[in-house]
Amino acid sequence: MPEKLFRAALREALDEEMERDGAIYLIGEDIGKFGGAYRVTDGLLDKYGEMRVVDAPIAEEVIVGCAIGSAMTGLRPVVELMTINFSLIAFDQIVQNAAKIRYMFGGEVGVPMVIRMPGGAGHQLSSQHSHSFEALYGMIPGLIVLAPTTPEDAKGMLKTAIRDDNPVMFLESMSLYNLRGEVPDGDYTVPIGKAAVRREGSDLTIVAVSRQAVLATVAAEKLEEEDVDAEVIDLRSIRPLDWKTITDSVRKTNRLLVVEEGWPTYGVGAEIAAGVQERCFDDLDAPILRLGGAEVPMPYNQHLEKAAIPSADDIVRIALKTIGRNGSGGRN
Amino acid sequence: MSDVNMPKLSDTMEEGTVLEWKKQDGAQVKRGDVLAEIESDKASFEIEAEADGALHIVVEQGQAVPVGQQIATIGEAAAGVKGKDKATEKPARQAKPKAEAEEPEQEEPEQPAEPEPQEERQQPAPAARRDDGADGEKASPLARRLARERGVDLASIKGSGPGGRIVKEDVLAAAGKGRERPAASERPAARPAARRPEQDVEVEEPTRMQATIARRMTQSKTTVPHFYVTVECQVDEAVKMRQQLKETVPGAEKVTMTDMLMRACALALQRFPEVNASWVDGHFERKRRISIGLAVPPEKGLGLLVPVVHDVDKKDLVALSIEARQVIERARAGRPSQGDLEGGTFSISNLGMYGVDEFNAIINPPEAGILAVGAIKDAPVVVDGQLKVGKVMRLTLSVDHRVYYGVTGAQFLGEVKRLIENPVSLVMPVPEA
Repeated sequence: MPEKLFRAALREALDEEMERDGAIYLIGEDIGKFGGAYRVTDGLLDKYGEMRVVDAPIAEEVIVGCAIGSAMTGLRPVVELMTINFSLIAFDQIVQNAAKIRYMFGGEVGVPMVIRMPGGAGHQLSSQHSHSFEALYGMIPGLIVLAPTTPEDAKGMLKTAIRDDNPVMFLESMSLYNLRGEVPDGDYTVPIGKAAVRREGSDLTIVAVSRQAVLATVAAEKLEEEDVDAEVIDLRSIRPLDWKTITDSVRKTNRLLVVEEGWPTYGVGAEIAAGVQERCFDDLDAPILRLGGAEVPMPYNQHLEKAAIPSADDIVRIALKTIGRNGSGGRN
Repeated sequence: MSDVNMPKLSDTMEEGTVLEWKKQDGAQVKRGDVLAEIESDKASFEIEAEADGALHIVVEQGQAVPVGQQIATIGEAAAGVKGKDKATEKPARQAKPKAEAEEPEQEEPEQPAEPEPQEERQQPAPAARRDDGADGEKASPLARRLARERGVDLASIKGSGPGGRIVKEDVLAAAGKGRERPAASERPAARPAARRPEQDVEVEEPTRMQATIARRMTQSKTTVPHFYVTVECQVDEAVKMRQQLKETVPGAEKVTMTDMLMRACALALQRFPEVNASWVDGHFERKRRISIGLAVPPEKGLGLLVPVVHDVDKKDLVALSIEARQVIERARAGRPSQGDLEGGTFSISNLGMYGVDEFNAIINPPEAGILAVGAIKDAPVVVDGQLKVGKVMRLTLSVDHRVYYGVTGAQFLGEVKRLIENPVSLVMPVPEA
């Protein structure tokens, strides 16, 4: 299987889908002539022309509003917001319109739209440009929220998102764009609502969101040195949640740690912890622990920023705590 | 039949080790016979028989057991009927160390044994009790389910999880299901091959005292927020006065600079009662007595003892000098009297005799201050604008910042400096209470 960059896998998905279906078009800031702030759409303007690759003004509410309207009338827009942080400007369009139109129109009209949004911290972009909004969008009925973590999933999940008839929030961790991995050529899809078991284990389950799933796999290797056999689940689909994969794993390992980069209060981890204890209380051998980012505006200072994001070592430490061994040092 | 239990020899003693049995198992002993030498966290003591009879040893030499646990019985011949199981259940009754046993008038009244909770005991427990441990055992949901499914009584299991929680492995073990591998929580962390103790390092087991020092100093330095204040004192007068005392005052021949500092600290502590205090569970505890510990090495081996002179404020310099010497001698010889190693409210550590200029001492909890004393040295000093050779000594106070603060620390140390530089105040008679 050929190896490709995460960003190239996304481009391949867009390219193949646009070729397959003439109703698909791209809209966003600097996605055409400039090729996208993260070079995901590079070359697509030349191939598909201005009608299908639209350089939009810096007005996120307008961009998303246009996309929703066009989706209602039969097109299949793929929006790129330069970062997830700017989606707050379009939050009204997303929550009030995109998520509700199918319901409010009695199912006669849908919004087959994808909003691609780079997010996450780690690049010294400071408080306003480093958000992880998995939980914010994950709580809204009517939206589908996906977060791929491998190049293969990036391509397969974006294709699935484009083909789905509902609005999909497609969260891309900025830190993963240069991740290299095997990506099949040609057409394939990855189903929505299906988590991936990245590593099988027997001592505890680590469910991780977005980039943290990559770190959790690193942490699992370190845990092996401590003679702890961790199972790592990459959530991939934040809404809907794949309860079966999670609970099957917890029933096997009896212990659960949930890791996300976003703030843990009311977070994805909180939701999974609550759902797991509802579904398999009698299988739990230890309290479910959560690990998330520090509950502060993301600091600009690189050392503080690093300290505010869960690291693989943090995951190891909390994992050891979950199984009743004291890890050493570090932030909780 | 009389039980011999591990005595509690100091405030901090949690367990003790039988260093040596002085009598054989089964030997006939008489009241007052020395039975064994016991090592506590601070010193070793001899314990004596409190009854006549045959000695039955329960705890072997070298074994550490908690305070109060039975270590032997004295009874009729062949008294070995009392098993070791009994030992852990028996309420603690203290055997008295030698020093105290000779002074029965100082004995505290024996605590009456706790009455048995008869009513509870008489309830037909198992039948009425739910088998899922819902009556109070801490167990994980999974452990409860497994216990239910396999008919295991959670009350009969000791939990190995955090805080004693009963977890899956405990129930499976109790149910007789052998484990395939130990629980993740019990498996030791794998150590990469960085250390090869057998080649490069000789591993030495600490004595009980050394282990206690390691534990308490770590506790102090990691939980007590220390800060330090240093002053330099001109001690020409104090040195001169000490010489005069030696030559002219009977009983004062052996007064040391440490004794004088102890007196100075007592007077300063009287003036600054906030220093004579502790931080305990979020409260200040002001001590009504002023008792000062002196850090000294034991006679044998490496270690640290802090014998305490009590009520220093109520004793004149000569009296406390004599008492300090006696307390130190008893402690260093490993024969402290009751109270010799406890109840301190402040400490002094003097390394001046080793030529140290100054150093920072670690506070001895729950005290809130310790004075580190450096050497007396000849040094250039400025007196009335003139450069002279004088005797100087550096004092460094370690402060528990939870208990008092920079200004108080500075004022307290300033007062100690003032007193030692004007030593006549140290030999003033102690006012009657």
